[in-house]
Amino acid sequence: MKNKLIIAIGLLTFSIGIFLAYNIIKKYNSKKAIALQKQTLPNFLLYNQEEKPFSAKDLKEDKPICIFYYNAECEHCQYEAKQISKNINAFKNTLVIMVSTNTPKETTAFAKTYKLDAAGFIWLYDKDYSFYKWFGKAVTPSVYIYNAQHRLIKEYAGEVKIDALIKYLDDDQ
Amino acid sequence: MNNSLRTPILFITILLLTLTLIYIFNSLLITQEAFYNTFQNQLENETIDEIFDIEVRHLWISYIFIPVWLLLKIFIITLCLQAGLLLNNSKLKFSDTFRIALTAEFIFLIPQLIKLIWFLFFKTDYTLSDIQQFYPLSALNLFKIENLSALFIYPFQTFNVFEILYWILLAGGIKQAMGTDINHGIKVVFSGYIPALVLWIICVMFITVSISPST
Repeated sequence: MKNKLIIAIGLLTFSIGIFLAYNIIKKYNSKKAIALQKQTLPNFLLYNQEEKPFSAKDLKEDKPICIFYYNAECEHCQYEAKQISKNINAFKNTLVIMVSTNTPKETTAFAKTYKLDAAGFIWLYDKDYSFYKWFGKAVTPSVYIYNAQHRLIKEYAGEVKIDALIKYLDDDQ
Repeated sequence: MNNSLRTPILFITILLLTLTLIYIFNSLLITQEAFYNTFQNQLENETIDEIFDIEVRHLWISYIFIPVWLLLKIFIITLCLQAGLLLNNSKLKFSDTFRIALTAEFIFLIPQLIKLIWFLFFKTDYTLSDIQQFYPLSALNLFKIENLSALFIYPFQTFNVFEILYWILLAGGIKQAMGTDINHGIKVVFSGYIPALVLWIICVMFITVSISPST
């Protein structure tokens, strides 16, 4: 009886260990691949406000790109939107892409509230919750800054002050 | 001294020492300057001040959890040692095993003290991540943290000189309590405690890889 119990506990511990180790390797490799993939602008496929597919290939201009992943309900994203609105001139030479899982109706209201509706930004709808496939797990807000050659130069997770963003938009990196 | 009296005294001593160290640590190292060093590249000063105020206001909560955490940790290690004893066809009272685990736990106060001295007198310009990641005499000191994946920080921290001394103290405690040789104590530690430690490290790595945004 005692031996059976020892073998059962041993096997259970070993199985849990193997299961977790397998999943660690799987997740680690997947994260590593995504981290490598986003070093150059990934060929994402999201939706515009008419709910038509919009991919990275639709970006014609060779301008620096600033991708904001946000949620209209999130306080930090609202702060970020206010800061962008106040410093809108700093983004004039940058292609700003706003991505969220908010519906087009919610996005329109958000853009209007923070006076970003006439800023010429590209508003994309992450209808399928698939943003993570190209950029990895992201908190809201997250910012990805790409240079004109579409190489990632800076990434921020969480709220970020406007100076920290502008610094990378001005830099010719 | 009576053994039944020794265990509570030992527990109160280690608890008071741990609480004192953490209090000194929080008061002298978790400063507004450390918050600025950590967040000034990303956040506005007012936001950093707000985060610091919230942190300071809620620090007392951590003191409540320390006795619970300490008790739980020693209890689980006692269970692991009991499993090791069972695997080696030996028997030792639960209370005796608990006292061995409790006594050995004192060794972990040394790295905390070294950490305090290190940041207080040597590396005085630090961030919160520096404090979190530093572990004296650990495998982590052999690598540049910037080049290391977040996944490996905890396992490398855990593999340190004090952890090995802890194994020796546990083995020595078992040897003394059972009147056997040190090899028997080592066998018990290696068949009970080490597999549980490995499983714990794997669990922490799994949580890290699941929640950390970077690899």
